[in-house]
Amino acid sequence: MDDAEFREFIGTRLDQVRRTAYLMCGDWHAADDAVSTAVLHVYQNWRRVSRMQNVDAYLRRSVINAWLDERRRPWRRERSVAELPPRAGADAVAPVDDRLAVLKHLDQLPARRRAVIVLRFYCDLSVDETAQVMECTPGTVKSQTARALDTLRESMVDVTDLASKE
Amino acid sequence: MGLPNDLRAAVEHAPPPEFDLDQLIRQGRARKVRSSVFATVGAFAVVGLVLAAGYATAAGFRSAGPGPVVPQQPGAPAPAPASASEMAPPAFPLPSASDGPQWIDRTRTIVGTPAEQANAARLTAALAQLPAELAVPTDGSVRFTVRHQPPIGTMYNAFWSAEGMQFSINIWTEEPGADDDCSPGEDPNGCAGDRDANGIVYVTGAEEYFGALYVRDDGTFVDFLVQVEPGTERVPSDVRSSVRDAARSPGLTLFP
Repeated sequence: MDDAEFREFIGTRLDQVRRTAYLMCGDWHAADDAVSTAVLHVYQNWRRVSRMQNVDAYLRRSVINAWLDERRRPWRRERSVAELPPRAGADAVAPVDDRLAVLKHLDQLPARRRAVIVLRFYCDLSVDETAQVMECTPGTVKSQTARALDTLRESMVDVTDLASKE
Repeated sequence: MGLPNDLRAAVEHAPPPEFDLDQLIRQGRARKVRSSVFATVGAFAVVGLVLAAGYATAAGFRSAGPGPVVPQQPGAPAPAPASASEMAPPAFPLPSASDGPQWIDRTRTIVGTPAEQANAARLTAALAQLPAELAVPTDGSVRFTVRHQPPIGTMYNAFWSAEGMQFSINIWTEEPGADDDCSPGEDPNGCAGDRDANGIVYVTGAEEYFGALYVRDDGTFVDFLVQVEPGTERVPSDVRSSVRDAARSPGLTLFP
């Protein structure tokens, strides 16, 4: 196996992939878990993967699959608690809230719609490219995008310029 | 701002990653090696089952006498008279102690450098310390040989046959710290590992075979396999536990 080639490939994409994973997960720890799982997977299959036409799509798909797999695990499911955990005061977290507001809105979306939004509007992939990563049809990407944007619109997220991309 | 800008702003201040790429690559390499080892064990188990089934069929054929008479074709030579001692042997080679386990590709055995020969001699001496249940012959007939095993590189192998079983030990080295920390149930090839003071031992097996792979913290990989020979039904439990213990034997390391 050519480790140098793999290192060069991952090295130039790691930062972008981590940020993409973060937008999907909403949590840097979970994002790093998904990315490390995906990187390990790509490394183990590098001999085959490196011959693919679109290695980037494979890496993104691996990250999404790692994240979706992790969400399905029982211990990751939401649990009810008797008392809510304490939260910091509103003033202390206001700047962070501003920056992370979009994450809160993204969190309303089902996982695959959230992934579609991130791929299309953060990674700037076309409908066809997103369909390739998500392993679905372009029509599904369009419908998922439209529904996701409807949900975000209701949350007062500015999506006015994105109608043409639906 | 718009959604794309909101998304970019949300990831503007990325913290440093919590994982180390070098460590991930070491884990990936270790998993690949382990996968290939366990795949070899599985393949060998299948071969063993086929051999055992064939042996049983042949034995049944001998006891039942010759099969139905096949009409002779005109011009063909007359068949030789059949007797129990003249029955044709099975069409497959039955393993014997001198053949060695089927998973060993003998063509890869090499002479080795003086250092490798010294390693092989030291490992051979360590065989004397293995549990008695493993029935290592004490007549000097069992020794470690140096083999070239792509992509691992140099590998040391010893094998013997005793009490209806074949034993084989493969020892090689990988980068230290190549063990992984995958969660139970994630990886069918080895997440059931148990850590001790010097490494992690992974086991696999069925009734007819048992394997223990010990990944030492010093970078030594010890792969100890036992497989029943035809006529033996299963690997006894005391042999299994001895194989597991023997893989962790202090003498079986490339970094004494």
